[in-house]
Amino acid sequence: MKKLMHLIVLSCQRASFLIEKSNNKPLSMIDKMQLAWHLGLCEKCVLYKKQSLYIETVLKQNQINLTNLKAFKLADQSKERIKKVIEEEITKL
Amino acid sequence: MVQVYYSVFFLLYLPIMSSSETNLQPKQWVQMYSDALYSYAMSKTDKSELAEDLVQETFLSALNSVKNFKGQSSEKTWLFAILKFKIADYYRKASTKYEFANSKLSKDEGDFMDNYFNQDGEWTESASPKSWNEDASIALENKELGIALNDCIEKLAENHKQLVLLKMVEETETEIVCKELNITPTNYWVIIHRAKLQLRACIEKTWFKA
Repeated sequence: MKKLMHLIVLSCQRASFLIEKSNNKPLSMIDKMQLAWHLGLCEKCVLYKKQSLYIETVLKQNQINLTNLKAFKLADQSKERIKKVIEEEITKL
Repeated sequence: MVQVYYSVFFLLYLPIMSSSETNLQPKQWVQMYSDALYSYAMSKTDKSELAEDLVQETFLSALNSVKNFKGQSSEKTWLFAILKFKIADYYRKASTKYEFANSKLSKDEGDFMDNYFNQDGEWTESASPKSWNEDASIALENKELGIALNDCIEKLAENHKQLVLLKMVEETETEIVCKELNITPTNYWVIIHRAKLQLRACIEKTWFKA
């Protein structure tokens, strides 16, 4: 009976799969409708969707934080080494 | 092979993307840009040796395509574009090291999912999403949350991890990623789904309820 029902309103497993997909690309019309139905009925999956998007945001935020906040300096030795590599490469050109 | 084409096209088109007169000074590159490039590479890879290699490779690639560089809106922008490509390329190669055996994936799919869903495909008691007690928008400001999430990523299976990282650093079309990694689009989503289930459960356990 449940299996039959899931054909129409989806299982949570399928719904969470579609949520991941929809975070990144548009779903087909049928998937979209079925997911909307499921989310209308299932609080847990609504929660999952919210938290899943939240994780994506944190991941992106993390990238930005790291890019903006941390300044690293390349060691002088390394700079000298790379300079030499570049100069060698220039003579080859 | 695909990667090589990709890279050739990329470097060929770069000069066209920028404009006005040529004014490259390769001998000044290290002094002017190496710290900025290195910082960026560190932020994306977090491994100093690797970041250093990437910076060097960036300079060498740039040198070898100097003749194609007809002008520059900014030398810096150009070098950064090359570096970004090098980083993405690194993750792409790291991902291909792990075989995404397509058939095996569907076979053990059931076992993995048993942890999260019952036979009817409903959330199991232990895995079902609980509401998080912390105000999400406040926690967003918190850098420690980012660190906790990174720890969770570290716990993923190696091939899942690489795919998540690749997806993060590069917003490439899924289709291109799939072709390069030789996985079917369905399996790509299966892996992302799995990884996300694990990440969500992990961060819920370690951060929101600890």
